[in-house]
Amino acid sequence: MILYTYQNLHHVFPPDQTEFQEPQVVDIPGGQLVVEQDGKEFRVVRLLSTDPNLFLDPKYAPGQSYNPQN
Amino acid sequence: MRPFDNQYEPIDYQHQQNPEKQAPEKEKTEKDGIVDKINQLGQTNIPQMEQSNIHVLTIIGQIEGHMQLPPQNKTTKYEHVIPQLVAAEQNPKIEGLLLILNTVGGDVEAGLALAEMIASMSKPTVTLVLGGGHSIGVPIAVAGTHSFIAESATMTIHPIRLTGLVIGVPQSFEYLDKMQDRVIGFVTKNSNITEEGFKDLMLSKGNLTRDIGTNVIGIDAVHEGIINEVGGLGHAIKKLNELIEEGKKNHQKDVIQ
Repeated sequence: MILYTYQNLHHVFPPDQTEFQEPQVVDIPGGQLVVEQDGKEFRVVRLLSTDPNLFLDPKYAPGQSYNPQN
Repeated sequence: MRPFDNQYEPIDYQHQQNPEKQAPEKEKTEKDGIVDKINQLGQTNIPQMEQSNIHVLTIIGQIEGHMQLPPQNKTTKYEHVIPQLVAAEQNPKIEGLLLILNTVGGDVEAGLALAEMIASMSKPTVTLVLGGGHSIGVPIAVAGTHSFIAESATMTIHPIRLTGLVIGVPQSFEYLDKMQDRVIGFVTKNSNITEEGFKDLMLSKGNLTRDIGTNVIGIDAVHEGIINEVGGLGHAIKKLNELIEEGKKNHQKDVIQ
């Protein structure tokens, strides 16, 4: 299929609504954490904080599994 | 419980009737409960280093405003950034804020809101443009007390555009024109560039192949008067520390007077 249109790509192919619900934001001491559910586990996507020291904490490194209990 | 399950398990009457025998188990669970509470409410991480008096805010990807963008976009959401700015302004332990920009632009009103928030902070702020600070990234870049741009970083200055369906073209045109004036007004107020200079960059032809606008790189942004200095992370932190010291001195003077 070849398209020749003045319309934006996202108007032609609207994004899948289910994808919007995937990332969740949880509060942590000193900021927020964007996590993604992977089966039963949560995985860290991004740390939202202005504290540079928090970024050195391996607990909040992207890709780490996140447990809401600790 | 499945039906007839209890048929095979003799009921322990003695255990039930004797509370003393049960006591140690109960104590154990109570203790575990306290440990859990300490785990939940106590200090979660032992401070390994001194608390930083400088906080960092990264403005990356698209500036996301009222419309949620598809998940493949990297975005800076204003509902995340605004509370962080409020916290940085309000927390007495934070003495300065470093803003690192690598943005392609995005929502005009969200970008202007962030820029206004940063410009109105009482604490010194230093901005550093790395990679790109395009479109609405320009007002954010100039909003700080002092601004830096990396030698290889670029800023694209172009007129505001609207994508998608437009109902009421003349009204929209007027609205866009006013919105553009707000951006121009903010940039000229917070940097050394004149209104004419900025409009020239915004509307000049031939710089962006078939589009109007200008792409200013590193030192050019400084020559145009948009950014204060060319520099990197070291320069930015040094300048921020200088501004913090200056602020402290001025505060002391005020107290003496």
